[in-house]
Amino acid sequence: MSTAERRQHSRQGRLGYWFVLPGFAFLALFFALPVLVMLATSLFAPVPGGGVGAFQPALEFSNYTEVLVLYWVPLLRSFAFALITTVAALLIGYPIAYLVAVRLRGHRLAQGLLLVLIIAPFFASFILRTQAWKIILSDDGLVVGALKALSLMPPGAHLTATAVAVVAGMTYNFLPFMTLPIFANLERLDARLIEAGSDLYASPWETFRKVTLPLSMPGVLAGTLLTFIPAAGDYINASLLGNNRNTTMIGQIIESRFFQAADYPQAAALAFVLMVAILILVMAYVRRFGTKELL
Amino acid sequence: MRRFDPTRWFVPVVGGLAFAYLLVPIVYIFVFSFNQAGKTNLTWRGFTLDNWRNPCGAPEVCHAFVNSLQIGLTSTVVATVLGTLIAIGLERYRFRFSGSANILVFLPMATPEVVFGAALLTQFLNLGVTLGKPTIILAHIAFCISFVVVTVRARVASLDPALDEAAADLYASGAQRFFKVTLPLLLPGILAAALLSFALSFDDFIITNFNSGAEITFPKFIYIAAARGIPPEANVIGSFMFLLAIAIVVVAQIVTYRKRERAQPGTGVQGRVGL
Amino acid sequence: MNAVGSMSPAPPETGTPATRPTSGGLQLRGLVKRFGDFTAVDHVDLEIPPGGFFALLGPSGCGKTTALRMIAGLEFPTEGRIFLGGQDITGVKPHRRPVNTVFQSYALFPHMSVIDNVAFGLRRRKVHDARAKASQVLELVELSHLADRRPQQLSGGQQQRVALARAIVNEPEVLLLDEPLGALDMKLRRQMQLELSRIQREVGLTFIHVTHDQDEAMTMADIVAVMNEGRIEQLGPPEELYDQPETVFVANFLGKSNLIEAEVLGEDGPWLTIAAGSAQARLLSDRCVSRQGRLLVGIRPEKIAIAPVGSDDEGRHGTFADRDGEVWNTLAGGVVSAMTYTGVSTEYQVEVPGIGSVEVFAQNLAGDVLAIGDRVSLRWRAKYTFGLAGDEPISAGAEVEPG
Repeated sequence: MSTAERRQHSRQGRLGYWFVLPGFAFLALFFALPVLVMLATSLFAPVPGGGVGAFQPALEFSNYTEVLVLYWVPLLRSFAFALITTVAALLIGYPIAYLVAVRLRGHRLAQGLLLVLIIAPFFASFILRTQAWKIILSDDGLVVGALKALSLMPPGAHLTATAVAVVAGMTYNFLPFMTLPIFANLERLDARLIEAGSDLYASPWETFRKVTLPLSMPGVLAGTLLTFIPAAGDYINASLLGNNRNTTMIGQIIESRFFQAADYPQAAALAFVLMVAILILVMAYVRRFGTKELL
Repeated sequence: MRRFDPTRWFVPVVGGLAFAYLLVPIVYIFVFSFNQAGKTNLTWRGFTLDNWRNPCGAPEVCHAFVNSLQIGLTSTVVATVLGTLIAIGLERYRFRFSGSANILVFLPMATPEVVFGAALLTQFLNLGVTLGKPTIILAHIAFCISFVVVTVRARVASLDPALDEAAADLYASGAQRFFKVTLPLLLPGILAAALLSFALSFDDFIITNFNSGAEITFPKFIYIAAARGIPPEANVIGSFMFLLAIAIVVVAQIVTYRKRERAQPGTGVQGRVGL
Repeated sequence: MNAVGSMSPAPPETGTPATRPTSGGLQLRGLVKRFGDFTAVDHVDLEIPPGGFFALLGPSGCGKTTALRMIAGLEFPTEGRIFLGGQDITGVKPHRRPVNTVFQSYALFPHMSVIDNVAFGLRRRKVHDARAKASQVLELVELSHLADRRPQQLSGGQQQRVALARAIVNEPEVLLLDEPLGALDMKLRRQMQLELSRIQREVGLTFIHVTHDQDEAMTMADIVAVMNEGRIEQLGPPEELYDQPETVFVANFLGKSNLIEAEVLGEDGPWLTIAAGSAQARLLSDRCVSRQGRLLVGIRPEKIAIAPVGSDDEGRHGTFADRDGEVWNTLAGGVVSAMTYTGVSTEYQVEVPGIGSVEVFAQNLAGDVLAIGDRVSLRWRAKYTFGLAGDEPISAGAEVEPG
């Protein structure tokens, strides 16, 4: 390697740092540092004799034990709801992605239109849509009326203010996060592999099970993560579609600890517990099913 | 001979139902944007175009909407620039700390919004920063960057590095190569990332709620209004944004389709012949 | 005038084991495939006897791959029918056809090991001992030691052999090969050509090989069908196609040909006498598509002997018979205008007044190579001349890009 070449290489290396530096500085200041500040805050203790919301630095580990004792039920419920939501979104989202990416391959205009329909609801406001579900599923709405007329629902039952409504709302809201990564993966799938499957005596269902599905696992992995993580921390669906008895999720509690109780250390402790729990679950999941293609 | 083949009808039927599921609330929002005003917008009172003629009729709704547009556009521009640079840097250059760099990109996406919002809030509170539009924008940039990185990086990875070398061979300087070769080739990915970033910002409630103080955004307006009844003007704005998103993507689709047809007429057929 | 092949050549004598029933082979009847208003395959009739090595040869876009995909069931014909072993399989789905394909890109499943790839088809058909059978076939292609690798870890040539093993392990009635050697380098391609021929003889399956490479088709196949613009131009054993092409496209696509515009003057026993410019020549009437009117007269460049003016042949024009009764055609007064020395031979371009430019391949036997500007005379045995329809464009098939 000549000196000129070597200089070229080292300059390129330094240039690389300039590319990533601004973005990483931003993430350090407005993501990494806040997480550390939150970790510190979660150990703060009330200022003796101080008013509501007055805390001072301390190492108050009891904040953690207290919140865990108080709120382990909503915490577990959040993960249970998120898990059901993820499975439901996968069962609904995969066929959508398959329809658009594989069945409609080559029909670019139709593919484009259906993709817009998946993405565009984002723009019609998450909360507006969740509120719409609340009205559609309300006791005097069409769905309940029809179900009751067909005797599929007992007269006194509700759809809103139930756990089912919360999970259905989350499934609805996070469906694009499941569908898009699977679509992106299936779109890249080599159609000749599907042809090779059918050439080698695999029926369409067998080809799907033995070829398409295993090859789309990176997309499924990304989709399930992008659904599970926000679902576990969500509180909009629970507060709009749930009740305040048996659908309370951990997000609602973090929010109310912050804004109603102004108990920042406990709120921070809960948020930190949620973050760590999700990271552990995600890491175990990625280790079990993951590939290097995730990032 | 012909066995029952469930995959044949299963995919279109389930896919069709899923699309219906996605669109039912939109249809509801759209229909009720034409409802006559009342105390709430829960029951149908009669058809009117008044809401569409004067979408700012309800107090605060347009103020919230304009705020959301400002915040969305500002944070999209910054997040797209920062994220694109990270994507190129990580994919094209070697680093000693590339492992931790990847984690710093991945972690914000693995953090639920409520944690992200709470963390930023504790930082702002501890620093004594007044919450408002600037803190919302900072928060939005922070959570959009990772999504931009992931979207653009996939595009960078699919670029042939020889193109850059070819440009260098043809006397293009580093900056020229970046602006004349790399950037134009990445443009579709960057636009997709920007669109995603705007959608995430425009529709965000949780992180915004933590870091907005007294400032109002469109989702926050609706959340507050939900308690006493969402005005039909909000439905007008929701429907308008939905239709606008469709229009933008459809126009973009048609433009790229036309371009491709002009470049290689009849590729649709040739491609399928597969010779 | 296209010769739509529908002849059924005798199965090759060598290497057809008695184990496979010779029940009718594969028949294509009036096969048409249209994509929109583009006709990819245009009324193809073809009968392929079982147990042979058959090649579909043609330039890019001639419809050969589409024809292959219809046989595999990956496309369905717009018109016409496909029979296999006497049974109509036109509408049968690919996974119910006893037909397997070696794909151009190999299409190996990246998430499965080599052995699982090879056993895939057997397992789908619930064949007993799939793994053992797959191992045997891997041995046949000499890849047993790589059975547990992933396809991505293999070289191109190895991947190609896995793709082949994955297809032949199913013992299909017909094995389809879609440009299987296209991605390999020259040396490996030659080696795989020999290996494919060996494997075909060993397993005795019917191979249908699609290729744009005339050398590949000629060296490997028993029967070659030349396709152009969706139709079969000519069908036959490679020697026959080369020796006696029936269309300008075949004459130019398979090797090189000197084609000269000429007019039939008269018939004399087996011979036709023709006039081209100021020269006269003879050709056998059964090597000519027509016995009167305008013709394109063809002669292969290596059949022409070139000699400097001043040797014995000087002054002899037209046709003459030598002492042994062999009839020769001669062209006198030529000038060497270009030459390419390739070691074993020299390729000359000779300008002949009134005829035009004639290409000659001369083996460098004695070593005295001619130079540009040398005056030469050309001669060739009249029996090697062939005659084509005079109304065809003279360069058909000469400029098509391969692949």
